[in-house]
Amino acid sequence: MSADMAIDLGTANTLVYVKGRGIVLDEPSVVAIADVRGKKQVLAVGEEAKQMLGRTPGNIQAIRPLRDGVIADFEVAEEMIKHFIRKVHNRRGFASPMIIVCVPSGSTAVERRAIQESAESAGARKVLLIEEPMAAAIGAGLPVTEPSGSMIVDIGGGTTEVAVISLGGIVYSRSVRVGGDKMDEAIISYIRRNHNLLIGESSAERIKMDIGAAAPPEEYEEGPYREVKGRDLMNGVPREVMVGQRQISESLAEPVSAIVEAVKVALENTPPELAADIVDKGIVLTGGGALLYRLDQVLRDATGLPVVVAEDALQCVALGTGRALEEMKRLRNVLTSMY
Amino acid sequence: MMSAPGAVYDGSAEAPRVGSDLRAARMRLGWDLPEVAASLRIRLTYLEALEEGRIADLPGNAYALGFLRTYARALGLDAADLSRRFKAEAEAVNRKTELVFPAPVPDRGVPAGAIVLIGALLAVGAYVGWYRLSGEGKLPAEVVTPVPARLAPLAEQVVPPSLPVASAPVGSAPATGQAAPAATPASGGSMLAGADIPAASVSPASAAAALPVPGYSPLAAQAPAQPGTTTAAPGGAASANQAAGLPPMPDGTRIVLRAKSDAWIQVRDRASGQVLLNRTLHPGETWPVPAKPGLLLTTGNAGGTEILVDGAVSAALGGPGVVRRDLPMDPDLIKLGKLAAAGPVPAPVASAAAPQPTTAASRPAPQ
Repeated sequence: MSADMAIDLGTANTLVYVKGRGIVLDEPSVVAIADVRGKKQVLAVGEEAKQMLGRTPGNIQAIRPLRDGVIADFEVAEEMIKHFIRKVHNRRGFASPMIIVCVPSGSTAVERRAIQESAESAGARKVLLIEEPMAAAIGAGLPVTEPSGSMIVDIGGGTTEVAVISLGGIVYSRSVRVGGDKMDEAIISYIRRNHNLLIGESSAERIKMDIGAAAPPEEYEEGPYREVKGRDLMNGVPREVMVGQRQISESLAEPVSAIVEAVKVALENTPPELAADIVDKGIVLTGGGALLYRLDQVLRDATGLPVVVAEDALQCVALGTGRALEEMKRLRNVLTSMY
Repeated sequence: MMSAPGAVYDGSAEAPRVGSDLRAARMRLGWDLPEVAASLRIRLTYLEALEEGRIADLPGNAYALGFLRTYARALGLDAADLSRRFKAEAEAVNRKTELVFPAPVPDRGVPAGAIVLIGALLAVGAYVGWYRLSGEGKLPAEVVTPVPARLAPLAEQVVPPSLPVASAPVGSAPATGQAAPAATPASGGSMLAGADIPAASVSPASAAAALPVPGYSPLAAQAPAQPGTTTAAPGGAASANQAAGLPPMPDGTRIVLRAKSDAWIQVRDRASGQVLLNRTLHPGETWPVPAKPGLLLTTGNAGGTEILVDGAVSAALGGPGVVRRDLPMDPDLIKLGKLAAAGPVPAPVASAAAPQPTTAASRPAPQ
């Protein structure tokens, strides 16, 4: 008897929830593949592979199989899911669990089918899909089945999902392909432009997590500084510069405004009764992007609504998917299948 | 304003210590609650409920914790620590949000299981009723339906054997005469004989006579129907036949062959050579001889063959196993008992019904 699983197959991180055990695995969605005499073999998956990202020799590739919330490299994604299933089942053979995977609400049928099929070929007995904003709302503990509107903003690695949920269904949803990755790219390009320094994705991500902010610090304040190391574009030698929070918040202005725009468009398209509920209760932020400093404040100022960050924002989607797995009978309305 | 009127909450839904901490921190900073509400965009009532620990007034666990953390961070408190204490104080916050999806109302009021149960009960009831009504398990005598009321007087009526009938001189006496041997135990064989007479073909004469009289046997139907043959009381004849235990006879039949034991019997028309009957009659089996002149009877077991004329048994034809050939089927001759004495080759009797035998008489029977 193999344990059924719920997988939050994210662009940045993959979380696995096992029925009855909770979240057992939280690893970056990175696979390192070695080319051994023309044959591709999986070298490492997860945290170990992430260390290799951008540091690989010619015969090793560290790949992120997901881009913008959907599968970009089908075979590698399949290998990754297979690895996670095996890891969760402690190398017990013949594991063919039922798997619930979440998909971005804006994904196309082809993208959903790709996710479902990769999970199936990774050894799943049955694959069910759940929409990411619904999973995030359930995981955040919102009363999604009540006749009252709840607005959820899930800022993931690849996509930002904005959805209004009522009576167990998605009333309106909007998915923009802006997330943590876009913020990293924004930081890289900002530092290259202003400091003539080329930094890697991992360094950019680290800076974002350390001192990233959606809004600049108060007047006459500079906020914390961090040194960032990279390659000088002028003379090609490695160099390190100091960047402040104000600079980083400037660099993040573009992705942040894209998120704000998405939220505003969603609010414009919300039916008035649900809009009235949202005025009272506000917007709930989930996902790794929600942890960006002052993002809630920026959204609060832009919309004039209460904005709160959910508890365990990073795990909300996995928790919600896991709850759908635990309460399969009751929550089967939110589960779909491509077949 | 410790308790808002109408607010329902119990002790577990309160978090007074966390609320007072929040209030104390706000007082320390010298902030006004409406100011904080305006800057955080959280409704004033919710902030008041938070400070007073009234969790039931907050819109939901997720929102309550979210408001608490936002407020705590704005006040410069440790949001994570405060929310942990908040959860420890108010058990209601730890409860998972109940998710009950709106389910469509079932189409029918009666559940499927009840329908199956009712169906099964109906089937059993129907079977029991049928078992009772159909008389399964009763003796066969109880099963026989009584004679219908309109036929009851006819069934009881005893018809005299020699009921005068206005019939043609051809000699087709009405079947009523067969009511006479009512006492003879022919009831067993009558069913078999009845099978020989399908009620399908009705001669014009009998059709003209009465409907309840069954048609000829296929053999009899081949004989030309005799015009003008009418039965005086067709209904009476039929019922008399039933009373006598004999199968209903076609019109005009006076002679009936009956087997006491297995007997091979041949009846043929002397004039045309047509064979009307050629088979073995089993004990009790009867065969009505069509009213037709010039018929010859050959029997392989004279002792086992009885000839009934107008319902009366005629003299025995001979001992068991004796072969009698070409006996003329003339009712009058049989009545007079002339056949019994006749030899194997019948003498040419002066009868209209039996003209020249000659060749036909000496011809051996088929088979």
